[in-house]
Amino acid sequence: MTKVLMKGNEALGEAAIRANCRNYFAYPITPQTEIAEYMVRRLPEVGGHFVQAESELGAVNMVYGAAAVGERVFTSSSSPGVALMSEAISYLAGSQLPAVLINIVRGGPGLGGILPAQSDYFMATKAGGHGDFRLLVLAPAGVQEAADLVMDAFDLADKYRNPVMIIGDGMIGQMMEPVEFREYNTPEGIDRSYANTGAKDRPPTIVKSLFLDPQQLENNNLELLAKYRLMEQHEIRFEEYAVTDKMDVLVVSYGMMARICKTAIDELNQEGHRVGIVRPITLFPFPSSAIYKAAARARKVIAIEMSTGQMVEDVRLAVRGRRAVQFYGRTGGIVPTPAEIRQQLLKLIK
Amino acid sequence: MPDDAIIKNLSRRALIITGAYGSGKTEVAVNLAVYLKQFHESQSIIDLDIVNPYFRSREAVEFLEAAGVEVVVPRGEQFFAELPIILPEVRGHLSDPQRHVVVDVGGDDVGARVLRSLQGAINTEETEFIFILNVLRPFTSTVQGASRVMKEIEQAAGMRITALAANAHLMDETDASVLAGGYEITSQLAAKSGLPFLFMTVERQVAAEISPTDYDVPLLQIHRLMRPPWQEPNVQYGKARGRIQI
Repeated sequence: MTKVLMKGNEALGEAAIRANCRNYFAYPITPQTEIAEYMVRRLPEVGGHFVQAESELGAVNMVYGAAAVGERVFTSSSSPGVALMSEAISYLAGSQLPAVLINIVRGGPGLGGILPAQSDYFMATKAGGHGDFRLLVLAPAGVQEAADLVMDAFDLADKYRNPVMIIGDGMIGQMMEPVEFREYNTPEGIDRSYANTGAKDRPPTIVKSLFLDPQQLENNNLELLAKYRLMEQHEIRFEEYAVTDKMDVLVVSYGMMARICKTAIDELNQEGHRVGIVRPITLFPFPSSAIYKAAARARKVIAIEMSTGQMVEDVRLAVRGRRAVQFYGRTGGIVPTPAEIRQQLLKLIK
Repeated sequence: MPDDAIIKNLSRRALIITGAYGSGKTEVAVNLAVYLKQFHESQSIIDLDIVNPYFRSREAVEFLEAAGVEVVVPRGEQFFAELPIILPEVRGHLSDPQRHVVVDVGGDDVGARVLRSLQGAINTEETEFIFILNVLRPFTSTVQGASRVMKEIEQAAGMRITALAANAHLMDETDASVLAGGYEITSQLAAKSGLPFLFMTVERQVAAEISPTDYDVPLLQIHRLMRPPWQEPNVQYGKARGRIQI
């Protein structure tokens, strides 16, 4: 397979097709509408189904329906649209249904703007909807990684029967990079025994999140909790870059912001400073242990985000008071420059 | 051929740049406008991209203005919108016989549809409607795919495409073989459609790998302006960009 030049949004859609997903339901919103435009062209070529829903509510409930009958399915939206979906996302988790959700984040709150932001960290990792549940959240830092993670997302959703979210700032949707799609084979032995596929010659299956008996509801919550503990044991992903002993500063940053930080870090390290970065790839489960260990090797720690400070709270929990955790962020769609990050890091180094 | 041969191929007053979504129309339009300014007293560029939310020619306003190119683009808060705004100046620039204009329209048939509303202002005899082709993009990697997109654009725009240009690239991974592949497919498309192949683009760092005599079409040396922020230490994304040296 040779490389092609793709927009992040197109690569997300193509990767879903390569992961043998044939169902996509969505409602357009900038900056991720190219996913729908791409799927409109491509899904008919592979015998798939795309419905442009009347709203995000319709789209995500179609996702619920397709997941309930045992189909691979995904939807995509941007911040305000994902917020609208949160009720059904909670239902998906409560009913233990696999699905992939893509959030290409724009500046908020409210209608906000259409430029890139990372201000949906809370929504993705802590407040994806009501009730006791978690999404497994993957945060790519480039078009290639986005394509790779979409394929993994479908497998992880099936493995845990839980919704998986891919979160990227608007830039990851809009930017173009060369991308190569890896060979993909659907894992064998996916358990579809939960699916509503007709009850001929077998007892009916029931997909539901309603448990009126409190003990049954607690049991369901404990089942979910057990899955999240397993995710914490097996699914944590992160990248360490220039992490060494006796660092002046450890940066914690994810997604595109981490890539900008790396440009600044390269420059500083060439000048003889010692700056490293831990880039969480899974935002839940969060790489707390790796951050704790790396922080112990640095004089100072800073979290850098395109928000007023969201992931920084998890970084502080991870560091457990061993270091004070500083923060730097921009919002509104303003993406910090490498020069701006360099200035912030130099202030800490001095 | 040397790149000063391009001007001979671009004698018409208005150059409307079209192509498949993501084919690099904006990069080509911005670079062409700057190149053409050397030859024309009055050179403007019109950003008619109402499809793309980011990476539009309006991002290069300061750079273009520093080169003496007049930029017709929504200002103020609308600068950041992806709204179908057509400024009154657009008609003026298109129909003024004293002005040379480059028009950057949005990709695919969806982006080209805006041209329908400007038909009264477009004098077809003075206009070149140029299809930009990057064969590394998913829907235009073959002559058949490119022909389909051309037909869709022509139907939406209500105008016939009059010329072709190759813009084969893979961002920083572009090499001589990428250019050769682009030349090959674009030549085949030219033969099939009967349209002239005006020029092919080459980035400066790749230009060193090839000889101008390798190809029988002129080369337009370009500088890619729409770069991601980690490659531009000093450029503030989310503001009009301009501190880029060509």
